[in-house]
Amino acid sequence: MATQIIGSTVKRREDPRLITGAGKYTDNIVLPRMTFMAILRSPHAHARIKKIDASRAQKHPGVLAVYTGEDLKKGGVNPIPVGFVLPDMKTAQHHPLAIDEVHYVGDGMAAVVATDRYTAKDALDLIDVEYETLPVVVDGEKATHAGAPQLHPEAPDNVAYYWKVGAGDADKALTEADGVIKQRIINQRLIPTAMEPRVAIADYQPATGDLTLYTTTQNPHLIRLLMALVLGQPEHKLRVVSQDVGGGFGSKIYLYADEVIACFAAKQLARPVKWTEERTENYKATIHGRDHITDAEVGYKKDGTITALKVKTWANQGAYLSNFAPLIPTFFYGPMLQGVYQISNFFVEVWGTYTNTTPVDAYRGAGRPEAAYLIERAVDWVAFELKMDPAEVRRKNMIPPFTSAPYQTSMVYAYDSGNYPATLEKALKNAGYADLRKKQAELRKQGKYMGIGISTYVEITGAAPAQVAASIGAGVALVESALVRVHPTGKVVVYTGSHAHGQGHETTFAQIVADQLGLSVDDVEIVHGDTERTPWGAGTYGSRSQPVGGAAVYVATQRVIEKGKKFATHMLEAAEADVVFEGGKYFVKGTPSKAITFQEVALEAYTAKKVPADVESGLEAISFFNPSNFTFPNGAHIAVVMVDPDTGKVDLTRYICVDDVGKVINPMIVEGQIHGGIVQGLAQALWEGAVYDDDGQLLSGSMMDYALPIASNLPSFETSRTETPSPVNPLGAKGAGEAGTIGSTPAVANAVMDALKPFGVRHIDMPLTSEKVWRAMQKK
Amino acid sequence: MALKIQGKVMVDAPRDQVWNLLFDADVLKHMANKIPGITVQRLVQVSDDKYEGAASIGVAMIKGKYDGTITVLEKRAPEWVRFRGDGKSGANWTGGEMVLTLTEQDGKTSMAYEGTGNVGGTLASVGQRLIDTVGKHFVQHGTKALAAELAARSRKQ
Amino acid sequence: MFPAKFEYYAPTTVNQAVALLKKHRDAKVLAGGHSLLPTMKLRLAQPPVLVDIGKVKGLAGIKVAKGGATIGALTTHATIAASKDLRKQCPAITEAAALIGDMQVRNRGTIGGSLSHADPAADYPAVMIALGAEMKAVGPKGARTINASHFFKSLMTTALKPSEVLTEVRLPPHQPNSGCAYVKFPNPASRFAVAGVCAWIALDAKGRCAKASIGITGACATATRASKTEAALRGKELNEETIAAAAAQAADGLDCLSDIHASAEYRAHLVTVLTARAIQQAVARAK
Ligand SMILES: Cc1cc2nc3c(=O)[nH]c(=O)nc-3n(C[C@H](O)[C@H](O)[C@H](O)COP(=O)(O)OP(=O)(O)OC[C@H]3O[C@@H](n4cnc5c(N)ncnc54)[C@H](O)[C@@H]3O)c2cc1C
Repeated sequence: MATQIIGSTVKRREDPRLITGAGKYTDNIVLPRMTFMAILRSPHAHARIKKIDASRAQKHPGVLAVYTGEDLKKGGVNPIPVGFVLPDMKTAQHHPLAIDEVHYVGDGMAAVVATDRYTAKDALDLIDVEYETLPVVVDGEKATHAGAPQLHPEAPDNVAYYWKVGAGDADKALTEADGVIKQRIINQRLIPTAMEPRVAIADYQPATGDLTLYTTTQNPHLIRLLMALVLGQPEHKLRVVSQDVGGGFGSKIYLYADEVIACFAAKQLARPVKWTEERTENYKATIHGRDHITDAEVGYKKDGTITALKVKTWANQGAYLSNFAPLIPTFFYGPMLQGVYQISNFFVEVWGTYTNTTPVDAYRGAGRPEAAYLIERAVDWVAFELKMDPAEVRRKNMIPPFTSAPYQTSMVYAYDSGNYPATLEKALKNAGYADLRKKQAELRKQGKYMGIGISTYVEITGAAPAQVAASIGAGVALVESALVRVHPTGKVVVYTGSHAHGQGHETTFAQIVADQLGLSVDDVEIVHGDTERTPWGAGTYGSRSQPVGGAAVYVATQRVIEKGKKFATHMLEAAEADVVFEGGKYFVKGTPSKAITFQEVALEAYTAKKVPADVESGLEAISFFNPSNFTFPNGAHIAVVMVDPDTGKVDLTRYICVDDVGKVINPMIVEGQIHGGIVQGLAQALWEGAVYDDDGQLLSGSMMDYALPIASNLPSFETSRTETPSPVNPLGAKGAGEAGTIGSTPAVANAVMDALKPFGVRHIDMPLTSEKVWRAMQKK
Repeated sequence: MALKIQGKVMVDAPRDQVWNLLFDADVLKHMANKIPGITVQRLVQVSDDKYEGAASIGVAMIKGKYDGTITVLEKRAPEWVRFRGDGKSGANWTGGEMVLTLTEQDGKTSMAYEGTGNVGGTLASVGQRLIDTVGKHFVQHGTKALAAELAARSRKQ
Repeated sequence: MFPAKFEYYAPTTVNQAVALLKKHRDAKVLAGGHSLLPTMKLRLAQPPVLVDIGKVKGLAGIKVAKGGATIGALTTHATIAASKDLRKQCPAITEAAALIGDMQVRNRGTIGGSLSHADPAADYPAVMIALGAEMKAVGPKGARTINASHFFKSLMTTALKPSEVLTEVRLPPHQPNSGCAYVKFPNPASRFAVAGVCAWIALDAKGRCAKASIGITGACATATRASKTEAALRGKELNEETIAAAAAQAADGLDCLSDIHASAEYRAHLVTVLTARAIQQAVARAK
C-alpha cells in the first residue's frame, strides 16, 4: 500500500472550491465597522515633495483619516528592512510612505482611510501635493554613469552593492581561446501579474492589543516577523493570516508598504482597515522581476568546447531594495551561469543599482532564468560562430551523469544529482530532432523560416540549508516546518509553514502523509496560512515547498509512526524493537496477521487504556526540516517556431520538454507546474516586457500594453520526465515550480534565432516582438 | 511619455505686432478655446512671465480638468521665446517646453516652434498608444489657432 | 478601479435616450460598456451622467435581406461573429467581429459602441469603409444616415453629435462576383488591431477587378481608405504581381501611429502586407 499514493495522480482537492467560486480570498473578508484605504501614489518618478496639504481631503465627508510619511514616522513606524544582506551593501531608507522625496512612479505619498472605497479614492484627488521634479534614471547601467541623477545619499553612483564570483582564470582562458564572442544581452524587466492583486486587512483589538493582518502573502511567518520589526508590534500580539491566494509567482513574498500602513491605520482608528490593490496600481506598486543588462564574453575552442565566461551585469533593483532583492542577481544568478556544463573559468561581476523604477525582486525563477538565458544563449552563439549543431555543442560541454555523489561546480554550489545527457537525448528523441532539421532545410528552400531551439538548464531550488543561507546573507533560516497531529479517530491534521497559492499542497502534502500512514488522502487535512495555527515556517517560493516543506511533512510523519510504536508495543505486548509499521498497521515482525491498525493506536494514544504511565499520551510530531543542500532540478526543452518573413511574427508550433524534478509526488500537479512555468517563460521570450520612458513613466502600465500569454496562441506541450532522486531530502524531490520558466525562455529565444540564421542574425534581445524580428530580417 | 513637437505656421501680421500680442493672456485663452477638446475656464497673467489657469482638456470621452501654469523662461524681443507649460489633473500631469522663433517675411511672420511634451500618471501608464496622436492633434490645432487669433487681433489694432 | 460619481438613466426608447442626452450636456451613452467603463474606472473619463441604452427595445439584432443587411447598434460582437447569414453575404464583418479582443469583450461589446467610440485600433471601421456601410443616427431633429466614408472624423471622433444615438448599421446588398475579407495583425497585449485591412473586390465578366474598396484601421489616428491601391487595382487582371504592386501603395501618404508595440514605419509596412492578403482572400471569395 505504501508508495502507491506518493507518485500517483490524485485530483487536486482544492479545485472544487476554487473553480466553483467558493474560494476564500482576502478580499472576500468583511469585518464589522470595516473601513477602506486608498494610497496616493506619486505620478513622478523622482521629485522632492515641497508640500503635502491634506486639509481638503480630511474635510471630505466619509474620510476618517489621511496619513503621510511624517505621520507614520511620528507614530513609530520604521523603514522596511532588507532580509538579505551582502557585504558593504548600501541600503536606502524605504519609508512606507515617502518622506521628502519620491523615487518612482507608484511610490506611496499619503493614505486616505474612509468609510467606503469610492470615498477613499475620491479624496485622493483632494490632497494637494507640490512637487519639485528631479532628473530621472531608469536604466540600471546608466544609473552608475558619471553625472547620472542620484537617488539616495547613502548609495553613491546609485550602486546598492557590487558583488563578484569567479573560478579559474577567465582572462587567461579568454586570451588562449580559439574564439571569443562579445555580446551585450538584456534580460528585460517583467511584471509578475498574479491573477489576484494584493489585498490587506488589518484588524486591531484595543482591549487586548491584538493585531490581525489578513494579507495575500506567500509566507505569513516572514511577514509577521518583518511587520513586528517595522511596526513595533510585539510578535506574539500579531497574527498574520493568508487564506486562498490567487497566485504569487514571487511577487507576494515581501512585506509591502501598503500592509504596514493598513496596520498603522487600524491601530490609530481602532477599526478594521481594508486595502485592495487595483490592477494599474499592482503594475507599479508590486515588485517587478529580472531587468539585467549584461556584457558577456565567451571563450571557446574550435571543437566547440567552452573555456571561459566573463560577465558584467547591471541588475536594476529599482528605487529601493525589496526584502530579498540582493540575493537574486548574486547567489541565485552568478554561480548558476555554469549551467549543465563543465566550464572552469569564470568571472562574474554584478552591480545592483538603484533607479527611478518599481523595486525588483524574485519573480518565478528569480536569478536562475537570467543565468540560464545567458548561458543557453552563449552556447548557441558558439554554435552559430562555429556553424555547429547546437545540440552537439551541448553534448561536447555537458557534465556527465552523476547520480551517486554530488557534482562540485566551479562556483559555490554542489549539484545534488543529475543525468543531463539523458534528458537532452530523450528530448531530442521525443522531438524527432534529425527530422526537424531536415524539414527546416526543405522549408528554407521555399522561403519559409522554421527555427528549432534547445535549452538544457539546471536551476537551484529547495532553499535552504540554514547554515549556508546564513553564511551568504540570509536574515532568517529558511527551514520549513510541519506539525502532524493525529486525532483519536486516526484522522490527521498537518500544520505547515509552507503556503499554497496555486501549488496544490492540500493534495500533495496529504498524499505524503496518507502514503506513510496507510490512510486515504481524505483522512488528512492540511492547514496553512495562519501564524496562529501553524508553526514557524519560511513559506513558499523558490520551488521549496516539496523539497523542504514536503520533507518536513515526511519527517514529522515518520516521528508520528515512531511515537505510535510506543503504544503499539504495549498493545501488542511485544518488545519495541520487534514492532514494525507497514501498510498502516503495526505488528510484530513476522506476524502481520495479528496487526493492529493505525486508528486503534491513535485511540490508545488519547485513552491510555493499555499503556503505562511512563508513555506520554498524545500522537503528534513536529519537524523543522533543514536540508543538507539545495536541490538542482534540470531538463532539456526544445521549441519549434515558424517566423513569418513578411511581418516578423513568431508562431510557436511545437514544444517538447523533459524535466528532472527528482521524485514526483503527484505527476498531474507537476505537469501543471511545468505547463504554467513554460508559458510564463516563453512569454518573456516573445511578448512580455515592462517599458519605461525616460521620465520614468511605466508605459506598459496595464494589460492593454503589457502582453501576457494567451492560451490560444500556444500549442499543446509535449512534456515528459526523467527522475534522478535528490539525496538531500527523504522524498528525493527537487522542486518543480520554476523549472518550466527557466527552461522555456532560452529554448524559445534560441528557436527564433535559429530561424533567423539565414539572415546572419546571432542575437536580438527579448521580447522578440514581430517588429524586432522583422527588422532583423531586413538586414540581410 | 515624451513627444517631440516641431513645425511652422505663418501668421498674417507683422512680427512686432505678433510679438506684442503673443504675451496677452486673452489671446492665449481664445487660442486655446479654438482647439477641439479644450475649454478654458480661466487664464490670467499673474506676473511678468507667469500665467495661471484652469481648463478642461480631452479627446472624446477621455477628459480631465487641469490646473496649470505657463512660464516664460527666456525671451529676445521680438524674435525668440522659450516657455514651459505645466498642468495637473488628479493622477495625471502634463508638461513641456517650447521655443518659438519669429521671422518676418514680407510683412507676415513665420512662427517656427520646437519643443517636447511629457505626460505622466494614469494617462501615460494606460494611454501610451494615444499620446503621440493626441499631442500632435493639440499642437497642430493650437498653432493654427494661435496664428489665426494673432492675425485677427493684429487686423483690429 | 472605482469610477467617480455619476447619475444613471435607463430609458426604454430611443427618443427618451435622445431627450436625456439633450438635457444633460456631457452625458454619455452606455452600451456594452467595454470601452466606456474601463476608462471611467481609471477616472480618465468622468461623465456626470450615463444613459444606458441596454433596455431600449429593438436595437439589437441582425436582418439580412435582398436589399442588404441591417445590424442593430446593440448587437454584440459575438452575435455578429456567429451570424451565418451575415457570413454568407459579407464574411469580412463576421471575421472582424470574431477577432475582437476576447470572448468576454465579444459577449458584451456592441457594434454601435465600437463605431461610436471610433478607437483608432478598432476592427469594424475598416470593414465599414470597405463595404460602404451606412450608419443610422437618431437625434433631437430625427433620424439621418451617414456614410462610413464620412463617419470617422479623427481620433475617437465621429460625425455623431453629442445628443445623437447610433441605432443601426446598414450594409449594401451583396453584388454578384464580389468578395470581401478582413485581415488583422493583433496587438499581442490588448488584441486590438496594430493594423487591420478590409478589402472588398468586385470582378467583371472577364475576371478583372471592376471595383475595389479598401479600408484600413489601426495604422492611423482614424480609419481610412487605401485610395491609391483601389485605383491601382481597378480594371486590372488580379494576380500575385498586380495585387502586390497595388498593395505596396496602401500606406502611401498615411500618417501612421507610433507606439511601444509598433513604429510608424512598421505599421506602414504591415498595412501593405495585410492589404495584399486581404485582397487575395477577397478575390478568392469573389470567384
Ligand atoms: C480587453 C479589450 C479588448 C478589446 N479588443 C478589441 C479589439 O480587438 N477590436 C476592437 O474593435 N475592439 C476591441 N475592444 C473594444 C470593444 O470592442 C468595445 O466593446 C467597443 O469598442 C465599445 O462597444 P461597447 O458596446 O462596449 O460601448 P461602450 O463602452 O458602452 O461605449 C463606447 C462609447 O460609445 C458611445 N456609444 C455606445 N453606443 C452608442 C450608440 N448606440 N450611440 C451613440 N454613442 C454610443 C458611448 O457613449 C461611449 O462613448 C476591446 C475592449 C477590451 C476591454
